Amino acid sequence: MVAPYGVTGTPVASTAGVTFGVTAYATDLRYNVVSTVTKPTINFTSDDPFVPGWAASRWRAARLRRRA
Amino acid sequence: MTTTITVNLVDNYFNVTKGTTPFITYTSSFTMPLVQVNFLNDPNIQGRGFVQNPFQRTLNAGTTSFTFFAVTRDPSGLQVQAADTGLTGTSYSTDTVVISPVISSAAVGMLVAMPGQIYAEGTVAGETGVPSVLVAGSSNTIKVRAVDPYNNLAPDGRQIGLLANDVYANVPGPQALALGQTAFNNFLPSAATGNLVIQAYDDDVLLPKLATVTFSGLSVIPAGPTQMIVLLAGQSLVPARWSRRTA
Repeated sequence: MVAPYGVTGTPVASTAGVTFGVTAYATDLRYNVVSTVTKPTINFTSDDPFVPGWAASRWRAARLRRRA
Repeated sequence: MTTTITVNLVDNYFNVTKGTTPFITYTSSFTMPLVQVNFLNDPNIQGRGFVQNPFQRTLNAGTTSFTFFAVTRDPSGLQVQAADTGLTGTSYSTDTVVISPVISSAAVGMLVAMPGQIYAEGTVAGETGVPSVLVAGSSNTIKVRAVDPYNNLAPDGRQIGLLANDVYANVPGPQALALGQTAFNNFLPSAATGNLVIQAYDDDVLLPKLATVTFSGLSVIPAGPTQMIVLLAGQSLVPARWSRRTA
């Protein structure tokens, strides 16, 4: 998904070694959040091979918040 | 238009019976009937309080009259029944007449019927039913008609437009009414909301213009989940803005 669809704004710069929040939402085709979605696991991946602790996370009520 | 009907007490030869006849012996105890007029196919006359309910009068010297006006358009006419209530001990036969046809007057406004609703001419609301919950991205038909002061379909051919507060919705362009009504097909909401607002407006040069009608409080729910989006710090969600992906 690429802006301007679904989200707006520019991600703030992150600092190496400092955690920041990432939230995933389930949406329909038009980016309306679907609040009824429950998934057992959602995997987050990163192209930074040194990011620690990216275990699968439980998905509840349409969104999942992680500290990266 | 106001209508007055006269109810007469008649003998077997339809002579108005004001007193003693060969068929009705007038005595000191003779009492004229209490007559009730019933509107068999237009409950809105009394439902809207334009005449008393029940609508009754005692005959005076064999006759009385009732004044009213039809409310609900009906090409087959208004059926008016005069019946003896029997409350004075009489039991004269019932008579029914048809005043036809009942046509609408000039258009003064519009009605919007959402999916789940049907028009109800002559009523205060002009329609019945609860609007269906819409689904984002699904096509719907919205009906619009021109109506007279009593919400009867009024023949009119002017051009009508639709507006919605969902800026990403697919809103069909203006259309001309055909005999007073039209259906806007392929209205497609995009944003999930509890308050979709739709307006029908007079888009014609004809004067006087019909008043804009606003329909609010409509619910739109998301369609089924198809994807995930990730939100980073500094970003916020923008639901409903949509473009079909090409890759």
